[in-house]
Amino acid sequence: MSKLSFRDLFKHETLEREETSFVPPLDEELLMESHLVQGQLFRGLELDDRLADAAMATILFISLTCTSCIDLLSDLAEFGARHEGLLLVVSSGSNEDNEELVRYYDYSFPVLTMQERAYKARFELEATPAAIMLEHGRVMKQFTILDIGHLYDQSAVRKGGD
Amino acid sequence: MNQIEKVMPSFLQVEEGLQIGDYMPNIRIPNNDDMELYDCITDYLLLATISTSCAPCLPAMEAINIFIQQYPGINFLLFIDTEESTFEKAKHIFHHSAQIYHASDDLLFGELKTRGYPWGYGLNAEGQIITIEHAGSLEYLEKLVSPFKRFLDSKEES
Repeated sequence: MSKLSFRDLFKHETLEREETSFVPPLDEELLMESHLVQGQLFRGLELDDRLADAAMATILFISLTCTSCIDLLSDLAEFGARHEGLLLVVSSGSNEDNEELVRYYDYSFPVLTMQERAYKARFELEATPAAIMLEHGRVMKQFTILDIGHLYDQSAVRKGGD
Repeated sequence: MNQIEKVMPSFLQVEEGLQIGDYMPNIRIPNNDDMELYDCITDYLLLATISTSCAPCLPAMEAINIFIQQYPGINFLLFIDTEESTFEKAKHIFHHSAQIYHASDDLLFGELKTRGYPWGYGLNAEGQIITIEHAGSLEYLEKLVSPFKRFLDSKEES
């Protein structure tokens, strides 16, 4: 019998789901930069046609297996309503889960589907939940969200009651 | 208004997990009916849960296999959620010193309160949780073991 490896314990589909969904960065030059450069063009403008021109846009990255992301979800509808500009959420959930999420919380913004590993690599995110803020398609700020209050503070969106 | 009652999607129903300072439930060790988790505790106990349904568990298994060889005699239990035949294969692939147990998803999520694979706990001699870490890399495993290092023999130090 040939020598088994750990890879042999996994179904092909399990590993393939992760590996084929990995989307490499589009711009090789940008890939060379290991740190965020404020003002650089956002690498995911194709996520939504409006991103390139929007005066202000916020993209949130969540994972449905991350508890601090789940904790955030119930507060995002209000955040979305108060947020001026374009808001997108990129989620590691399946299309069906993400559609259910939008229905359950009555989100007014779209929830897009992308594997966690793919968006972390592509946008150089260290952890979830994370936010990237753009102005006219350029990155102004990028951070890991500690909680909903932190998100409000960083995005200068006024909370209810303030 | 025609308000339809909404049912919370299952993926939003997060059960509160075990926290640092909690005592780990004294589960029965799977397939060893007369052995309980607390029987395995010495001065400490590390345990990790992984599943072959989770792609990040592949690098986690590789890291754990290296880790247990770096610390010969380490008290580390590994619970694996997988099919019976795959578990049999896993026993041959892991280093002979690995203490691996076949466990159901129900046991790992329901009783050990794993919050996602790969997951790790470090317990003190009383069964109290001292460390909780993602168990996916050597770096995280080092954090998991960090308070218990004085109990270990390390190959690196010898």
